[in-house]
Amino acid sequence: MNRVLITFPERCTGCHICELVCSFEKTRSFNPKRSRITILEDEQQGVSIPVACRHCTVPLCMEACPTAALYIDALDGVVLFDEGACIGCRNCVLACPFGAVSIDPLTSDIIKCDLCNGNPPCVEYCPRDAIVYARADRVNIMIKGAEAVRLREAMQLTNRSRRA
Amino acid sequence: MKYKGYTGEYLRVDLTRSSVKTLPLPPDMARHYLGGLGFCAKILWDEVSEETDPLGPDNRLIFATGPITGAFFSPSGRFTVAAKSPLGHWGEAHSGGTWGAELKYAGYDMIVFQGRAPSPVYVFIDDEQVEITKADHLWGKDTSQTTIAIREQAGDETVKVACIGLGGENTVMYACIANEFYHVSGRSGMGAVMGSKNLKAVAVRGTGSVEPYDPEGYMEAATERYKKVTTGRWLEMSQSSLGRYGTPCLVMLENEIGRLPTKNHWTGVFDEAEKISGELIRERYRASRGSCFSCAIQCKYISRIDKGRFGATITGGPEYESIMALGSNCSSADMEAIIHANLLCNLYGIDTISCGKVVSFAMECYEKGILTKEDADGLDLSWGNSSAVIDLIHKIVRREGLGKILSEGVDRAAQAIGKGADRYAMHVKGLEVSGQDGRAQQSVGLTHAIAARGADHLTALSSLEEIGYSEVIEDRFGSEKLEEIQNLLSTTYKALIVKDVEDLYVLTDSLIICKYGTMWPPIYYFDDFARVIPPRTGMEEYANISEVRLTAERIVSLRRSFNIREGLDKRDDTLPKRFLKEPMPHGPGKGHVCELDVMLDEYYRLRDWDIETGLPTRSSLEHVGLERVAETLGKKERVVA
Repeated sequence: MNRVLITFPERCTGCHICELVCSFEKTRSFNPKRSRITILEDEQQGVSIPVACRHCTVPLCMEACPTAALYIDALDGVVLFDEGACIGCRNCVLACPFGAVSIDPLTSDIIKCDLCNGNPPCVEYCPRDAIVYARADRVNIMIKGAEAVRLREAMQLTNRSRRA
Repeated sequence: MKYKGYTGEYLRVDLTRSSVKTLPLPPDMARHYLGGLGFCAKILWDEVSEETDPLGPDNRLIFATGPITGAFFSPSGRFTVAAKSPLGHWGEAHSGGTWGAELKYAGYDMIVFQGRAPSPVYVFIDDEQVEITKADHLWGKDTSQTTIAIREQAGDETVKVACIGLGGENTVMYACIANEFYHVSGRSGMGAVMGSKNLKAVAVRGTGSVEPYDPEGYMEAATERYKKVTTGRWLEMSQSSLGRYGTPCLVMLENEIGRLPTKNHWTGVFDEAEKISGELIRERYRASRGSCFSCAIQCKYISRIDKGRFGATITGGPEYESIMALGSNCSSADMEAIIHANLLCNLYGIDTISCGKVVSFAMECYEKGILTKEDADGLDLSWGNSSAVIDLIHKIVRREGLGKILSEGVDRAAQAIGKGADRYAMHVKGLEVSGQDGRAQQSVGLTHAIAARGADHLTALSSLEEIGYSEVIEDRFGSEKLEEIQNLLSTTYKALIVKDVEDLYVLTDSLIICKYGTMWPPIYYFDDFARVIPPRTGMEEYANISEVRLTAERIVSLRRSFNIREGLDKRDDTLPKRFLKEPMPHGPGKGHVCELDVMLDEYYRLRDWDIETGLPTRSSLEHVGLERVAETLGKKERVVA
C-alpha cells in the first residue's frame, strides 16, 4: 500500500527544524527559504501551519506543465519533477492550490518535494510528529484516533458530572 | 573568510553619519572568541572605555550571532545583544525566536551600532540592501504595533523585527528589546541604549544559506546531539517539565526548595504559590505551544485571557521569572493580573524581572513608611495589590510621578528616596536580583555576586543541585563530591561548580545555543562542543576539549576585565544585606544566610584572580592569551602581578 504525507498543524510549534533538514538534504547547506516544506506562522497568535506537497492523485501542477516536467511515479504515486524538461514558465507554482511548488530564491529554479526516496528527513526530525509519512490506513486511524480521544474525554466529563 | 560557520561579514552602522559599512569578519576574532558573547566582549573591550557615556553616541550596541546560529542544532536560535549598560558597566542580553538566524541568512554575523541618529530611525536589512529609514511614525508605538507596521510597510509579514517600545524611547534603565512580539533581550537595559541612539527597530530579511565546513560530519554530530534531546531520559525530563508547562513549572519547585522570592526577597516561601503555578496556567490560560528557531525542547507558550477584567489579553509566556517578579515577589497571586502585567512589559519593552523588583521595592518602602500614599501618587502600594503593579508599569515607562524615580532602577531609586530605602534595594552592581535566593541555595548567591551584568542567574546558575542531577554531578566532578554538591545549604565545592557552569555558559552564549540544553536539562557539556565546532567551522583545534575550555576562560576573563577597567572589583562582587545578614524566615533554608565570603575566595582562587581585590592576576590573563589586556590594566594598576 502506498504511503501518504500528511501534516498536523495543531501539533506544529514553528521550530522550523523540517526546513533546516530539508534544505540540508537538497543543498548540503541550511536555508529555510530553499526548503521544500515551509512553515507559515502567526507569531502573535501562536499559530504555525506546515505547507507541504500533498502529492495529489490529480496534480494540478502536472496538468499545468506544458513540457511534462512534472509526472507521477508509477511505482509509488509520488509527484516528481524533471529538472531537464523544465522551461521555467512557473505555471506549476501558480497552479498548485496549496503553494507547495516554490521558486528557489537563489537560482529561480522550481523546487518541489520528492519525498526523498521514501525517507523524508522532515518527517524523521520533526520533534512533534506534526509531519507524518505513513500508509493510508495508518493515517486514517491517526485522524480518527484524535477525534476518538476528544470524544472519550467528553464522555468522561459527562460521567463525572453525573456522579457528582 | 577561511572558516566556515560564519558569513564572514558584519555590518557597522554609524547612526550619527547615517552610514552603513559591510566589513570582513576578522578570522582571528572567530578563532579566539567564537561568536555571540565572545565577539561582544572583544568589541566592547576594544571600542568602549571607562569614559564612554552608556547613553551617549560613543557607546556601541552589538547584535551578534555565532557559528551554530542558522544551522540545524537543537536548541539553537538565539542571539546576543551587548553594550556598556546604562548602569555603567558590562551589559549583555540574549533572546530567542528567529531574528538571529534571519540576520545570518541575510549575510551578517553581527551588527555594530555606534553614534546617535538626529531623529528616530529604524534599520532595514534586506540581504545586501541595508537602509536607515525615518521612524518618526513608529516612535511612541508599542513593540507589537511597531513590528506589524514595519511588516506592512515592507509588504512581507515574515520580516523579523527587533524593536523597543516606550521603555527604550524614554531610556528606562531596564528597557529591553523585543523581537517577534514575545522574545526579549531582557536584562541590563539594552533597550535604553537602543533608545538613546534614536534607533527604534532593526528589521531583517535574509535568503542566504549557511554552509558547514564538513557537511556530512557536522550533520552527523548535530544529529547525535539532537537524538540526546529527543530520546530517553533527557526527552522525558525536558518534556515533562519545560515541554508541558514551560518555565512556570519552576514556581512549585522553587517554592519547595524554599527560594521562590516573595515580598521583595524577604522570604523564599509563598503560601499562595499554587495559584501562580505552571499547572494552573496550563489548565486555564495556555492557548498554544511555541518554539524558538531550531529547537526541539520547545518551552515557549502563549497565554490567553478571554473574558473578565483582562479579557482579550494574549501574550507569550509569562515565564517563571516574570511570574516571580510581578507575582510572588509583590505577594500577588492574581494570575490574570500577572499575565496582563507581563503583556504590558512586553509591549512597553521593559524587563519583567527588574520591573517587578522595583515595584516590590516600592511596596516594601510603603510598608515600612518610607514611601507614603502621597509619594505614590495616591496609589495603595500594599503587598499583593495587583492593580498597583499595573498602574506603576504605566507610570514607569512614561516617567510620571513615582514612576520617574522607579524608572531608574532600585539602586538609584533608593538613593533618590533616602530614609534608609537602600536596605530594601535588592540588586548587585545596580541590577535587580533575578528569581533565586542564595540563602536557600548557596551556589546561587555566588552566581548573583560574580555575574558581570549584575544579579543575574543566566551567567552561572547551577541547576545540578537545584533540580538534582546526581549522575551529572558524579560524571563531571566525581562521586566523592556528590553529597556536598547536592546539599543546597553547603558552600563546599560551590565555587567549583559555579566556575564550571560560567565557563560552559559563555560558550553556550557564544556559539550560540540555549541554556535549556546546557543548564536544564544539563545535556551538553564541553565535549559536545568539541565534537560540533570543528565540522561546523573547520577550526580543528577545537576538537581538543582543553582548547574549548581555554576559549571559555578567555571570554570570561575579557568580560571581567571590562568591568575591572570600569573600576569594579571585589567590593562589587557582593549581595544585598538581606541575603548576607537576615536569616531566611521559612522553608528548607530557614535560619540560613548566604555565606558568600568563603565561596567568593574559592572562586577567585579557581580563576587565579586576587583574593584581596578580585583583580585578575597578570598570569591569569596571559594564560588565555590576553597579554595586551593585562598591559592596559597594568597601566591603570588594575592587575595584580
